[in-house]
Amino acid sequence: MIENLTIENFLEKLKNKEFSAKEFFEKLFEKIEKEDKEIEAFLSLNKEEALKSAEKIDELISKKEKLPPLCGVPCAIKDNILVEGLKCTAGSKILAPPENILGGYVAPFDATVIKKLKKAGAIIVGKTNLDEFAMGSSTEYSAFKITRNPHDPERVPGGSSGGSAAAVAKNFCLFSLGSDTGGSIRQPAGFCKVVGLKPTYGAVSRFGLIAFASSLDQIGPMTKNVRDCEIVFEIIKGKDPLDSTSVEIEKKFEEKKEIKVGIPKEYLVEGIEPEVKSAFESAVKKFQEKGVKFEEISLPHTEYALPCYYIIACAEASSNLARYDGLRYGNFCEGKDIFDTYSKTRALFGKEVKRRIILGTFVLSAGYYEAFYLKAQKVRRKIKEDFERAFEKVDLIFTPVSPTLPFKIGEKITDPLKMYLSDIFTVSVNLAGVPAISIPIENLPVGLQIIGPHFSESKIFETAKLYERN
Amino acid sequence: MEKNFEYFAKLAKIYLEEKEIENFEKNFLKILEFVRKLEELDLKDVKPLSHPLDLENVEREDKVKEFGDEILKEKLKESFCKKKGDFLKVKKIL
Repeated sequence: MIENLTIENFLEKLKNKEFSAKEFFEKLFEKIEKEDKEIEAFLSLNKEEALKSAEKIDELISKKEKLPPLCGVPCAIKDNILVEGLKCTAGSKILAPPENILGGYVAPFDATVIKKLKKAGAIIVGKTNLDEFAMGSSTEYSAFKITRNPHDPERVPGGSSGGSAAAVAKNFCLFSLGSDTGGSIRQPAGFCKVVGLKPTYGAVSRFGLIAFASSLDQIGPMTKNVRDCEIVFEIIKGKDPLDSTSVEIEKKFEEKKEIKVGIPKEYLVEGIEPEVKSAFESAVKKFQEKGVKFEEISLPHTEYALPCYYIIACAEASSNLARYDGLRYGNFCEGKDIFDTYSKTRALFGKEVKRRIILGTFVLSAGYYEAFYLKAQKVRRKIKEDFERAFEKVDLIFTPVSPTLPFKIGEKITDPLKMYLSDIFTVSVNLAGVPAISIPIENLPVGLQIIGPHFSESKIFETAKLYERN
Repeated sequence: MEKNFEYFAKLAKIYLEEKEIENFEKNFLKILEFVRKLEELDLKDVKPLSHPLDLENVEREDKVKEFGDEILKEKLKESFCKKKGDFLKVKKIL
């Protein structure tokens, strides 16, 4: 039943009483319990609460009361976003010791995005798997399970929001939330053939998102189509007094008949798989047929984006993850003194998280700060200026989301550098703080990335919809 | 690198097993070599950028502000590893 539904026609059918919310959710959980054994998109389910909420929605409908905009819409939430009363693991043993199923961190309050979704009537089905602390590109770095790509279970769903992408692709929900620090929404969206938006930095409140790299992190929607993505974005966006970096979107983009798109010449070079390149080129052709004009542009600092990103992201992570000291929350390993307690507790971090914290500590330490961190911050300005210059000439920029098709489980796990290269087309967007969507193209697990200037989400949605109207 | 990987692991307060260190160090050196690519650029007059938007620092008076209710306070305390009354109990620092 859920297979053919979008948010809008779900709402219509629910209001017309073609099904009740309760019966819809009972069937949905039946499906999830059966089919998620193979995919492992979820870390935990919220069945009891969800069924209770569904009953409440049915009451509202029978009383003919005014219905909220996402009334009864099933959604899945990445397990680094706090939902009051539910366990939140961030995919890490440090927050939820697997040997102690009852233990672990339970979120004491809702993230702002969750508050907004609940107010809008959305119903949370469960929390989805992710790379530990959102650090990874395949969801294999989760401390708990490996999520499989719904279109080919031998392959990864991408990451770090792999569980959220797989949950949408498998129709376990109508939308999910992910978080994107260097491509963690867009790359899994591409790999799982769903739509994913990394909003402009500040467009969506980060309050209640477990921080990885605060100047790069954004929460965003993952959906079956562009319209649904727009609907969810409209609900979750906005300034929040609890996140001082959040802003209100005021900018209006003039309606222009002709859309001018730039294709950066630096993105279609070595390392890109031929299937990705040809899918990208056929998609561009389809946009041309709809009257979109293309021109070649240059983002000259592209090749420096990945090293710049890893320095900045790891530096911020080393500072953000200092809070996991075992004292205030999470797992705790007693040592002989306080420092021994810290380091024994923090030994529970997974390999990749340790690697990034230590790299971050290194680039921030005396004697190395100027050579690494400060230099990376300067390159970050260069990368941002590249985009600013490009957007003087064109309205939007198109690139592939990832240089490769989904890779095999285990293929890149032992070589961190190889894994980092998965993000080569997505990290610049986070460094510059601009918004970008990933839409599935040519019925392949390939995403087309549409990048716009700050706060140009509406323009990105309108353009992305052109492709769906084939 | 004058200081070794173990030194920075200690700074980061992360305990590593002997056998972990070697593998970490190998990959770490590879990553360092990779990020050294930035040295190719001339960045003499470039101002560092720490944040993608032009935001100003939000300052407020140093006053206690209530966040949430008693129930929330109880929930926050539930996560403490050890507590004494309303306080988080930790090992002595000095």
